[in-house]
Amino acid sequence: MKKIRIIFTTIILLWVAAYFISLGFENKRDVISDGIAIVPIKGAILPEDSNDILSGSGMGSDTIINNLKRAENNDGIKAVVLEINSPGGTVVASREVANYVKSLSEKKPIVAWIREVGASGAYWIASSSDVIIADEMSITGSVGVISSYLEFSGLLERYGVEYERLVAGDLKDVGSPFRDLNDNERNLMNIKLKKIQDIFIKDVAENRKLDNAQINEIRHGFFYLGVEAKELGLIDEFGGREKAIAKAKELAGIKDGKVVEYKSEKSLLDLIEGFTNKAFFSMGRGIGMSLFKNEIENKFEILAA
Amino acid sequence: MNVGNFRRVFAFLVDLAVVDVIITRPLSKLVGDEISDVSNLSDVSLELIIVSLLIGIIGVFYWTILEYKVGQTLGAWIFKLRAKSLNKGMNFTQALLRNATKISVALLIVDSINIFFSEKKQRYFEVFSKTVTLRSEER
Repeated sequence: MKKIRIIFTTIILLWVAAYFISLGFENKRDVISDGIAIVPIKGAILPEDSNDILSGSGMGSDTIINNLKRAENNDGIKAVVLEINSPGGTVVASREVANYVKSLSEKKPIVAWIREVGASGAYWIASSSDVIIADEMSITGSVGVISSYLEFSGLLERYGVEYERLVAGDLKDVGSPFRDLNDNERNLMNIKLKKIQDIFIKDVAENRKLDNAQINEIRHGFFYLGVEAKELGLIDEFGGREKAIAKAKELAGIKDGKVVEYKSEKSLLDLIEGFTNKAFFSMGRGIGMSLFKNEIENKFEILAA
Repeated sequence: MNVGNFRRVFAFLVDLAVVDVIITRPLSKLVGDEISDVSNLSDVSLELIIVSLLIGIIGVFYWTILEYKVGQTLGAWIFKLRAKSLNKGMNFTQALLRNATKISVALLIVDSINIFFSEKKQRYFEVFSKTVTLRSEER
């Protein structure tokens, strides 16, 4: 017993020592000169980080913005490269990041590098940067808004399950998966999506200085390959990582900048936490119920994707 | 009694996890802005080198202090192993020398080659420090 007490005491003392040493060095962090920061935007852009095994993973806007803030506050970082590989995300999360990129681009040059896909909300973010670089076959554009959900009313009816509707406000349960939308409700939902798309297009058009013909083209919400996007003025140059870094250096007026990657790595504990959360949730309610519940919770989720 | 290699590996992995949590994580925050394009040595900042060394040195002290004091680390305690001097008692220098290669996994691997050729299953630095790792019947 004495032995294990000594072992744990030593472990705690070493941890305290490491902690105080790290505090001592804290003010010397981020000492770098002429650096190019690579900030990744990968997966769906969501209000919070998600590593949900069943419903997919994505980056939280807070995480992306925090990484951008680190680049902003580090005087040694002269330019930022956004490494984008994302199909888009929720409207508000995408816009939060886009707005931050726009404000940061006034202080430091930002190059958006679209790898495989940088569409919808991710393109919104890219359009806020100074230069967009993509491969000729990258998927981009998709300046549209989508809201969808599974509607179960037919299924429920088939199994003799009735939806007991109790609402105060006749439009309160619009989007409920338990009943179909009527024409008026569908029209109202479309009006809302149109309003969101108008803001989206206005932002992109301003950022990319698009004329009316170009705006009318992208209004369809279709995606474009890199080659098409360049003709439409949605991207500036073809290339990959090296080209993006070289462009960032050129804009920052530096020659031999160090490349620093600002990524938020997930610890083993985070992965375990994500897994166990889902496992316990699913055990309690059953996997079927958990899927069902997700649909109810997400009924008003509107995606710029 | 000489000890099996797997037991030693598992004990080391436990200790590595402890060192990761108590030393590597707090200190690696200092070099959070990882340099991803290290094309030549001049790209590695002095700070990165110092912090890496610091992590290695404090990590070595984890093994050294515990083996000097009680002959066991947490991993060794769990897997019923203990470090023993071939002389009288383990002194600090012996504990430090036998764990010096734990500053780097690569060094430790090279150091461990001798286990396969040694009768007492000693690493090279266990031979130099006149120590051995034994099975402990009691914790």
